[in-house]
Amino acid sequence: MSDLVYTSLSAYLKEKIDSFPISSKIYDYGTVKSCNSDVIIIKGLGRAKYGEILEIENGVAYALAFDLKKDEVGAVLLDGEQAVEVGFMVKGTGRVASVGVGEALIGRVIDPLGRPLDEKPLMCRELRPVEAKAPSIVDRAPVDTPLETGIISIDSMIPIGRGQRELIIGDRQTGKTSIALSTIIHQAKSNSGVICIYCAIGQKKANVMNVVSTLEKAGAMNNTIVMPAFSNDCAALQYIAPYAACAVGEYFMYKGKDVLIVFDDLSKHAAAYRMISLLLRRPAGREAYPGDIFYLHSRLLERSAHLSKELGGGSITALPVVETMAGDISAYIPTNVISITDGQIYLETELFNSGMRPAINVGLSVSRVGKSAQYKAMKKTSGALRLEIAQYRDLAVFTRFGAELDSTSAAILKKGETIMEIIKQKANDDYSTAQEVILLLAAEKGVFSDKIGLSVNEQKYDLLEYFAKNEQKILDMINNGKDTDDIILEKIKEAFAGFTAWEEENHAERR
Amino acid sequence: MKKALLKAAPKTAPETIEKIKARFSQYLNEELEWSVEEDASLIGGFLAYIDGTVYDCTVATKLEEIKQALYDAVGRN
Repeated sequence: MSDLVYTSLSAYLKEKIDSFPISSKIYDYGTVKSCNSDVIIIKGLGRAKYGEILEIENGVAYALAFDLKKDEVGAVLLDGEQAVEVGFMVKGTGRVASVGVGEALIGRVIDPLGRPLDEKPLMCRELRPVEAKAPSIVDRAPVDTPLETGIISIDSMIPIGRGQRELIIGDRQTGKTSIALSTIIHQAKSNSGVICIYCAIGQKKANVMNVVSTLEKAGAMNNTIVMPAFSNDCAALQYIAPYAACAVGEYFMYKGKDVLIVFDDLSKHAAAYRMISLLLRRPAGREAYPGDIFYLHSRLLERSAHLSKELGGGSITALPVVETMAGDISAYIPTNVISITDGQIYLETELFNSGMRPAINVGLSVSRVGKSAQYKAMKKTSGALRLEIAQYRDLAVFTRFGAELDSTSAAILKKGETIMEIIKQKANDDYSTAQEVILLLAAEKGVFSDKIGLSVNEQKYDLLEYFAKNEQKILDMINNGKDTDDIILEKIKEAFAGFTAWEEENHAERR
Repeated sequence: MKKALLKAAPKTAPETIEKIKARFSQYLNEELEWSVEEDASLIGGFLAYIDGTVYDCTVATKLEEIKQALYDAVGRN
C-alpha cells in the first residue's frame, strides 16, 4: 500500500518537473552608482516601480525604490548596508514590499518583512502588500462597539470604540506604553476576542524584550503579535514597520475579527522618514520634515476602520503613541496626528510626579466617538464624571489659600477628591467592566466615608476584595449583560450596606 | 557600439558562445562590444547584460523557480 503512495508521489513530482516551462527570463538591471549611509543611487532601472523591492548582487542586500528618475533610481536599503559596494548589479524583483500574514503570526515576534525574530520557523500561506488602500466610505459602518482598556479613567470618560483611532500623547516617561500594554493585557484577561498587534518603531531591543516578557507573564502573548523595528535597524525598515503591522491586521479585519494595533511610537517613525528624505535630498520643510509628513501618517491611520456587515463587521482600532517635548502639543508632528485621530489621551508630567497615575489630564483628553462606544452600564454611571472633576479642579485652587468654603462647595470638593482617588490605578491593575461600575457607583453614593480612618485608596481595594469574595454573582451579571437594571442596582445597594458594616467590623482589627 | 557582458557557465564550447553573440546581434539589429566572463554559480546556460536589460537563460535561475513553485504549493517559510 505504502509503495503505491510513494511511487505515485515521485511520479507526480517527476511529471511536474518535466512539464515545467523552459523559458528565459528578461529583466532590467542597474548598477550601484553611489552609497550614502542607508541610501543608494542606482544607474539604470528605468522601469522600476515606486516602492518596488530591488535585489542587490543576487541577495547581498535588498532596497526599496523611492526616487524614480529617467536614468537613476534612489533606493533605501532594508538591510545589509555594510555589504553594498559601488558597481554592484541591481535587479528589480517586480514585487512591492509585502509581509506574510495569517493566524500563524499570533504569539510571535516578527520583523516588518515577516521574518521571525524569536528563532522558531514561521510558515505563512498568504502575502499582503504593505501599502494598501483604506476601506472606502461605503465599506464602513459607524463605531458602535466598545474596546475596553481595563483602565477606569479611560473607560468612563474617554471611551474607545472598535474602529476608532485614539492618540496617546505625552512627554517621555509619563506612562504612554503602560496604557497601551494595559489595554492589550485587558483584551486577553477579558476574553474579548480582540487580536492585538504591538508595533515598536525605533525602540531599544531591551525595551521590546521587557514588553514581550510583560505580555508573556500576563498570558497576553496568545493573542498578540509583536512587530519591532529596532533603533539600530535601517531607516527603511522603521519606515515600513507600521504599514506592515496594518497589513497583518487587515488580514484579520477582512475575516470579520477585531484588531487592536499600537504604534509605539510615531515620532520615531517620522524621524526615520525624515532621515530617508533628507538623504534623498528632498526639500526640507518645517522642523526639517519633508512635505509629505502629514500624508505619511494620514494614510496609515485611515486604514483603521469598522467594516460594514456586508464585509464581515471586522475592525482595526489604532492606538498611535506620540512623544512630545516639554509638553508642547502644538509642535509639528503632534498637531498633525491630533488632527488625524478621533481623539487623544493626554498624559502630563506634573500629574505623574504628583502621584496621579495614570497621569491623564481629563480636561484636555477627548474621545470624539464618545458615548456610542460605551456599554450601557458604564454610560449610566459615568455621565456626570467629567463635569464633577472639572468643578473640583476649579475649586481646588481655593483650598491652597486656606479659604473658607460654603457647604455646597465643600461637598463638591469632597466628591472630587474621592473621584480622583478612584481613578488612580496601578500599572498592572486591570479592572473588568463590573469592577469599574461598582467603583464609580460607590463614589457616587458616598460609600467611602472618612469616619473609619482608612484612606479612600485602601477602602477602594477593600471594596473590590469584598465583592470578589461575597458578591461574585453581581459582578458576573454586570460582566455578562453589560447593563445595570433596577434589580441589579438594588442588589448593589444592599451589597454596599453589607460592605460598610464589614469594613467597620474589620477596621477595629486593622487598627 | 553598445557594451555587452556575457557570463557563461564553465566548459561552454567557444562555438556556442559565438552563436550566442551572433544571435543577439541579429535579435537587437546592431553590433555589440562583447566581454565574456566565466561564472561557475550559473551551473549551466548563460547571462547576457545588454544596455540595462538582463537575458537570464541559466540553469541556476530555473532551479530557483522550481523551488519557489514547490514552496507556493506547500506553504511559505
